[in-house]
Amino acid sequence: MDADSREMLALRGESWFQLNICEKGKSGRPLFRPTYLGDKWPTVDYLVEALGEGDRGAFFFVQVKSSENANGGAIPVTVSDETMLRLRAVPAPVYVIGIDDVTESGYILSANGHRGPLRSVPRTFPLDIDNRERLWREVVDFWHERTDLLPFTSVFQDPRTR
Amino acid sequence: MPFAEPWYLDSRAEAYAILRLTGRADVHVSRTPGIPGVDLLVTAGGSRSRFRHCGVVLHSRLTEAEPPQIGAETVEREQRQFSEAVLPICMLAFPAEPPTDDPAGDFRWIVEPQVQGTRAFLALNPSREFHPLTDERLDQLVRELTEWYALRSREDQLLAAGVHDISASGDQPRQRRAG
Repeated sequence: MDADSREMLALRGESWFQLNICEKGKSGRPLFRPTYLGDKWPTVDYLVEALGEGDRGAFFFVQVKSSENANGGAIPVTVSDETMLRLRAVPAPVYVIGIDDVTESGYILSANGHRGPLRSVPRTFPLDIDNRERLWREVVDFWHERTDLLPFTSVFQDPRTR
Repeated sequence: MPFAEPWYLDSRAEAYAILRLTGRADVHVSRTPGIPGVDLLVTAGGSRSRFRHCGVVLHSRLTEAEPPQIGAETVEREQRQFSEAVLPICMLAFPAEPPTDDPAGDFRWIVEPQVQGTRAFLALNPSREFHPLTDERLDQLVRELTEWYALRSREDQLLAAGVHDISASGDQPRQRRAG
């Protein structure tokens, strides 16, 4: 695949994420508002606000990775050890979203607790209505319920490395 | 319950437009065109044809049940804003909540590439009418851009060779009559 095709694949994945993260929740309103950060932010692609928290605010960061070679298995992605270190250093919830461009589906994986480079995103946590609700609760709890004494442990951890 | 905040409509229209356009292998899309008032930059012909650009202005609405509409004041603003455009510019309209996952969208020119004989020029479009962005219309869009840029390139070569009477009015968009 040439650089142009890779760029379009990445853009398609970002657009898929942008559509799906702001799908309406069970309340009939979107749970999240995504803001594309652009190429000037090399480590993350989106800042996503959790809606409905008024002035209290809650947000997370996302890096989107797309592949057309998943073949029904985990989504193959390449996130270097250096990038994972940078993602883990962000003092906020950070997730890698793996997109299967063939089936047009996306999967959530927490980057905060992940050790080492990331080679694939499992299909454990599809970005569906239930996981959007869990994600909203996790992000809001991170900002408003968590004490600094406890390390952040996401429910969207890679089950292969637990 | 309708949710019609502008950020929601715009964000989803942008995403649907990118998914629609990048469904073709011969179209390159950039979301940071650097042109005031333009949301996306489309390049027809893929990576080997970087110069066949077309600006895209996005228009959003809530559902497909509402036809895409713009007011007379929007056209007036376009005609002022893009009166000195040097590339074709179109408007694409997508609903935020379409009935299918892959809406086709609707299309109208803002600055239309036109060919008259051997001359390629740009014309401001005063019409508010949209056309369905069918696969055939998308094919036609790519073809129009390719042909227009090919002719424009030939004009540039002739001008460089000292032939000056081919495009006296071709540098800036002309007002096109409505109809």
